[in-house]
Amino acid sequence: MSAVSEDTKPCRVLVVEDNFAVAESLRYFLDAHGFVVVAVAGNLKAALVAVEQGGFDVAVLDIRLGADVVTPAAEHLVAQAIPMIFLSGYADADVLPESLHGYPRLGKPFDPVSLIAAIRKLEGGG
Amino acid sequence: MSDTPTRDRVAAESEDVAQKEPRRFLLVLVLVSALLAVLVSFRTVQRLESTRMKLEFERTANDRVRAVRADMESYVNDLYAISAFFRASETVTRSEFHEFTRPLYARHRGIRAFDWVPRVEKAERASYEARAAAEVPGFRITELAKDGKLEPAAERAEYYPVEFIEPVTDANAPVFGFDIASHPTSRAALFASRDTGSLAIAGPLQLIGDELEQSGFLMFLPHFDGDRAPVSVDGRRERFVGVVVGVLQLADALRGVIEHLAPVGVSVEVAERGRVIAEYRTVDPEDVSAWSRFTRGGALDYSVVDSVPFGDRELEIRCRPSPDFVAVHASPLPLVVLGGGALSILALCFYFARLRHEIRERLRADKALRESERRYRVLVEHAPEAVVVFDVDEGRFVDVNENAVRLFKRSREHLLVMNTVDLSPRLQPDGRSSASTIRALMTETLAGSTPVVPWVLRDSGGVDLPCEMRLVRLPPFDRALVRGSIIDVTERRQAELRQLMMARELDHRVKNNLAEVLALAEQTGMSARSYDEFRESFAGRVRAMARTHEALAARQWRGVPLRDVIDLTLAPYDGRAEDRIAKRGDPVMLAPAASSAICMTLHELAANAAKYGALAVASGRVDLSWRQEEDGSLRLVWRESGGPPVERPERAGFGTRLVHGVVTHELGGTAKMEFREEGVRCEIHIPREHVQLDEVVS
Repeated sequence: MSAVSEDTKPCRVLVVEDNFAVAESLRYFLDAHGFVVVAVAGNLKAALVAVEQGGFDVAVLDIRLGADVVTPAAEHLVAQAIPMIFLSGYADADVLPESLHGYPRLGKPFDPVSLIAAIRKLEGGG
Repeated sequence: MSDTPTRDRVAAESEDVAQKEPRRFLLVLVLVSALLAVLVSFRTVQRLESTRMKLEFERTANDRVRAVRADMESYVNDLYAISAFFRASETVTRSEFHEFTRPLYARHRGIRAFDWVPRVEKAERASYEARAAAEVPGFRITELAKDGKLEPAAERAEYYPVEFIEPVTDANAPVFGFDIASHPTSRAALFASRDTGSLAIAGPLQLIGDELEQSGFLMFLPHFDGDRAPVSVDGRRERFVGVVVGVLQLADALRGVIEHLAPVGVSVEVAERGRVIAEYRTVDPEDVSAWSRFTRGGALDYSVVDSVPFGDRELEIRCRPSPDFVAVHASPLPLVVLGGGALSILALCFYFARLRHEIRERLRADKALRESERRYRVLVEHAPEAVVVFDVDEGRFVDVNENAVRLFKRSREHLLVMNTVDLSPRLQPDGRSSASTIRALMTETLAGSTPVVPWVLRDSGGVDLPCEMRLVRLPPFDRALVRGSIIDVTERRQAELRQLMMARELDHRVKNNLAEVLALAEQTGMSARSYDEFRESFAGRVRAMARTHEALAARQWRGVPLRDVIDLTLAPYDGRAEDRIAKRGDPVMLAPAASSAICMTLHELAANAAKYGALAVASGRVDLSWRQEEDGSLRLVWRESGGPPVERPERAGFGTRLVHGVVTHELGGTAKMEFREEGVRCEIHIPREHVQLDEVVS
């Protein structure tokens, strides 16, 4: 089950989530499943910085970051062909541009099992 | 216009007063005039009628006068005829006299008898009586005795016995032989006729056999010997041989004449020197009824008076109308005029009453109509919608209200030469052409449907107005009028949009909160050493979240004053003694994200202090102060004192990590936690994007 078991190089994940507790939860679960959380960004500015720095294979993005929307960061990821998963409430999807509608989306509160499965799927595909 | 309904009403009411009902006194005047006209007509017709009646009467009366005159004349003529007969014959026998006179008395009802009276000398008496008795048995010369009976005449020089008398009736028979000279009246007339040689008349007198009437006349026509009448009185006395006598009953004569004529109600009387001798009347003139007087305009007081020559005498004839004259000749015209007039006036009254009623009804209806029109004008003018009336045939608006003027930002005059297409963009949002769509809508509306459609209109500034348009056909239905009621739905659209956004926001927040609660539960659970500790910490954190939520919701998620966040969060710990936590700082407003972050942070600090720090003992104090820095950022310091001695924990608990993480991660700020011996000190710095000056200082 662990990400490390099949490959010596663990999968690196960028987490963008504005709520600290939720972000901590994500980090904990991802750690527990053998992923390496390279950065946790709590706002758009931090997210853009993290995307710029790179060094991750998959991004888990909360769509709304306070008053901002994660779109600029997501578009950078699209440009770099880095797979991503959106976390969102049902109605939040509308604030994303159409170009980002094809990416997998998980409802909030997230279900750890589904999240892990979704990341693995992306990892396999990428 | 919209501000003057009261003035409109006042003006309209004075207009009502001006347009009054037909004046009553005019109608009364007309009626009175009609009444007068009827009365005048009645009087005129009555007078004309009277005149006509009078003329009619005079004509009738004159007929009678002529007839009576002719009759009287004929009596005298008959007498002359008999006289001529005697002169022409050598001797006249009794039977010849009978034959000659019979047609005469048969023709004249007034004649009682024709007599032949010869002059008989005293010496001839016996032989005369004997000769006469041979023809008339028991003939003697008689005279009237004092007891009224006939007796043989006394000795006299001469006698004038009635020798012939026709007709020989029971009444006339006793007169045979009667000496007419024995009676003073007849003697006077007899000798007068002898002496004058012409007709002499005696009477009026009561004839034998007539008990009541004194209307008898004796007519004497003298007869002389020889071919020519003697010229001197002496000669006449000398040659006087006899006299032809006519006995006339004037009343009978009158009756005969009048009854011979057509029966009309005329009373006729014959008088001499004012004394009435004979009269013919059907009804007493005094019986002319009051009703007849009224309808004929007074008593029938007219009469015709004329004279009738009778031999050497002059009689007077007077004709007067009797009631049957009225019956025969009266015309119903005056009554017809009066009755017809009365009926006409009644009809006029009825007509006027109807007319007044109708006019009143009409005025009332007009007034009601005007009021209704004014009412609807106000309803339309003050309708919350823009109301337009479109004439489909003319292709333009014929009425618009104030709201339409406001909506389209065009003057009323300008709008009245435009149509719906002029006020719409070329295409509607669904891509259909405005012109063809509106045509279809108008057709549909004229056919009786009442479409309600979303429609985009354009005002004079070129701004598109999303509207809702309701169409309905207006009466009168001989015109193609369509009312459009237009509501600008811009605000409604915005409200709908806001509502949608609120729903999304709420969804977002609920999901995020649930995610956070779940995350807090996991994190709390991992660091808790017992279930009780977990329960206490977790519940406290959820309650802190709830408080933030409450404060944010109260302000529609637009931000909360820092002071409120502090008071709400610390209330459970501060409740026991007011002075345990000192709070002071600038009035500062927090953005929503900062509100929940500060709430959570303060909650963690307070919960920790209550468990291990200053708030765990009675002597402990907390000093909370904040200020806004020059750059607009917020610096907040939590300082505990008077609590138990503090030891730095070996590793940061979740509470500590939460304080740090929330401030740094969520707000991009810093949180410096110091575990000093005298108490915990925490300094928090929040960037200015989460802070704004508190506008409303509470």
